[in-house]
Amino acid sequence: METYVKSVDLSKRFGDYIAVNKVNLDVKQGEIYGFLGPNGAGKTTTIRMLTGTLKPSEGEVHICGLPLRDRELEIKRMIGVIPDEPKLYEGLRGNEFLDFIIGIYQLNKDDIIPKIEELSSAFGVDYLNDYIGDYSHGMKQKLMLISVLMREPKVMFLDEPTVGLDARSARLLKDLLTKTAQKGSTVFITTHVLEIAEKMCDRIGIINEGKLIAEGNLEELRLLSKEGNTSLEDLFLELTGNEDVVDIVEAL
Amino acid sequence: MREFLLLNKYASKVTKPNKNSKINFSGILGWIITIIVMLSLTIPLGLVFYQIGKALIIPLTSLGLNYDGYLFDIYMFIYPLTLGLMSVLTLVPSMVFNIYESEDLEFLFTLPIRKSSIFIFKSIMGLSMGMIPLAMLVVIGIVYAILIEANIILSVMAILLFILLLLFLSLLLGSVFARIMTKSSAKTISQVFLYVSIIGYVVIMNLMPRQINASPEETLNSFNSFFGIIRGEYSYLLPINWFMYLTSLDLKTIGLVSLSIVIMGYFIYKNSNHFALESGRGKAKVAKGVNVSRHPVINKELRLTFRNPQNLFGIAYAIVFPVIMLLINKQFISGAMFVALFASMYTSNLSMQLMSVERKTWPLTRLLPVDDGFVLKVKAMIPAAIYTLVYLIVLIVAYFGIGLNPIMFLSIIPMISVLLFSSYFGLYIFLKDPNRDSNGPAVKLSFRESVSIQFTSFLFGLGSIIPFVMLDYINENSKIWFKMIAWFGPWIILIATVAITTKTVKSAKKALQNWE
Ligand SMILES: Nc1ncnc2c1ncn2[C@@H]1O[C@H](COP(=O)(O)OP(=O)(O)OP(=O)(O)O)[C@@H](O)[C@H]1O
Ligand SMILES: [Mg+2]
Repeated sequence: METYVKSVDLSKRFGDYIAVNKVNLDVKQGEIYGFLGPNGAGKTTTIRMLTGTLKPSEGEVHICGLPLRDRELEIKRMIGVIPDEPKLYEGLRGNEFLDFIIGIYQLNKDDIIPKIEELSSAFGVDYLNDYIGDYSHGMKQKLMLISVLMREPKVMFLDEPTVGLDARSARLLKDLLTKTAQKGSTVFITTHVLEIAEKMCDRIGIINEGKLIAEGNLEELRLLSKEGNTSLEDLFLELTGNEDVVDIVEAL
Repeated sequence: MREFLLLNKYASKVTKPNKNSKINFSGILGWIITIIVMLSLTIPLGLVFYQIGKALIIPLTSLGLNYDGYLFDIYMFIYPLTLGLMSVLTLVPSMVFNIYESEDLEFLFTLPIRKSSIFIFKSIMGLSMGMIPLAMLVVIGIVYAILIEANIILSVMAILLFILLLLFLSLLLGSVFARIMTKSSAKTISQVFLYVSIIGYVVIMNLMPRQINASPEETLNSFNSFFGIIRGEYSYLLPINWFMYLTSLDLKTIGLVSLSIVIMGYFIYKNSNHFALESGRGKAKVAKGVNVSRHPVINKELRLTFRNPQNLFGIAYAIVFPVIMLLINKQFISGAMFVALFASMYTSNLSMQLMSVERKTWPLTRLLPVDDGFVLKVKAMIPAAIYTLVYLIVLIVAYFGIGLNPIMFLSIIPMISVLLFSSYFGLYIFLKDPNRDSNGPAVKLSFRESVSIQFTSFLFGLGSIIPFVMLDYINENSKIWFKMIAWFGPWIILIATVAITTKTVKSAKKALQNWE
């Protein structure tokens, strides 16, 4: 299988602070890659560097075999990004925003409109005529998802996409992502919901304090546990050095 | 181009259109109002300039100077330089901050569009400030064209070419900044930029002939070397002379300027394709303890004020320009004009901006055990206090620099009231329609709002200062109305602003209570 997301020694410094430290990633076509880590571990920063919105302090990124440094526009055309917070133009209506995306990516309207209709009815989006300024968090998130999913990008980066989604939409999203992966796209997803990672991801990477500390499928990760932890939750806490939760709760 | 048009059509709609605004001032009426305001600011300037010009449009040859030009050309050197510098110094930071403060930048960067499109789109959105000096420049150019009897239409086109040059220069500087800087260094760099330009300005101003305390020969000598710079054989090569040469339709200069615009355009494109989204503020590794302060609300506002580079810039600007103007012209009145303009404009701007921060975190404030009225008071007092201080500094400099009549210090009393009014008025306007776009560096106002706020504050500000200047000119022959204005003007304004402010405070409180 071809490598779709590749990073070599990817690092980011903010002043003296190292937010991401020599992260090497190799995600294949058709893979769903779960990127886990505690708050502030560097997940969002990594995604921003992989998608070309933040310049790495060090290291290289290749997407679908192309170097991000030189082929930025081509790459941006092939990928889709769901940022951690849906910040959209409040003065546009939902359908105007989609219009904008269609124009920017120069998509063919005849192909895309049926897809929009399909996705909107699947997600229960019937508010495309209202101003985005009046949407709730989840409503914006769904619009963002539609605007990315409709393009069927080769690689999708999703930063905590289920935050704010209702149970039904979250389920739908998971199923849709699994289906796109089967069709050959790569999905790179961060989440704090370990159950998503467990059920959906082919491979999981755990980042802590900027370093990729563990990587592999669930079986491989279990072998890393010194204490024989088998649930992903215990494993995650052990690996990120946060097992002391129980003690803390006792102490309080 | 297609990208740019799309951005312009969609990505400028940052906030919901306001459904319940009663009068729609966009369209023709909006234009008429803007034009009226522009005219009321520029026509007096034009008239003054014309008066000076008529007296000084003396051919240099008739003074025994061997140059082609007029004595009046001195002014065509000072004014374009001052106003040009002013506009570039306003445009560049306002552009750069508009870029780095916008919330959609992250999203735009994920789109497959060239960074230069994003840069130019964002810059143009940030151009709204800095237009007044440009308008003044146009007027001055037209007056000069009339005086030297050049073809007005062609001259106007040449003047517009110069304006284009300034805009491109600003874009170029902006693109260089955007390429090299991060959000955290934006502050430092723009400060350095400000001071370097001002030093440069002062140096250039020293080229001016000195007439005072010199023998006629020395005077003639200094005039000779000065006109050697602005009217010499190769003077058209010097950018500081371009405005004059353009207005008099010098073909070589027109070619040179057009060429510069094209070259700058190329570099703007090149630079801006490399601009980086870097919003890092740097990060302290060791956590500092939490400081418990005794005045949490005031402290918070002060921190917010002084951590925004735009505000620091505004304050520096409001001090430095009036000071330069009054030191150069040796008259307080020319400094007073600018200090009134800046102080009144920036005060309302600052209070609005402090309020817009509240909006972004709304309803946090409502949840805190703090009285709404107190929140408003702090947000109004801080900007007014800062700019009162600015005014005081200008007065002190004038006192020591040009021997200002100490009675002028009294004008600080009506000025405080005017600035408080301006502050509260800004708050009120923001409160009335809190959903406006405040993503950029400045809160975006409608035509009517910005006209009413800037204009009234500016007039009140001038009204508090000028009568004091008039006191110096009172003699037996003075007309009665002149004396009346000089004696009572500021105090009438004081009473009026106190009255209006009291009302505005009430309305502002009400408006805040209506926030949801
Ligand atoms: N612009 C910035 N300037 C300075 N520090 C930053 C900046 N952006 C991120 N950081 C720091 O980098 C580290 C990683 O942040 P990042 O947003 O990548 O975390 P994350 O893993 O996405 O966390 P979360 O799970 O909370 O979303 C944090 O310590 C954060 O404070
Ligand atoms: Mg994150």
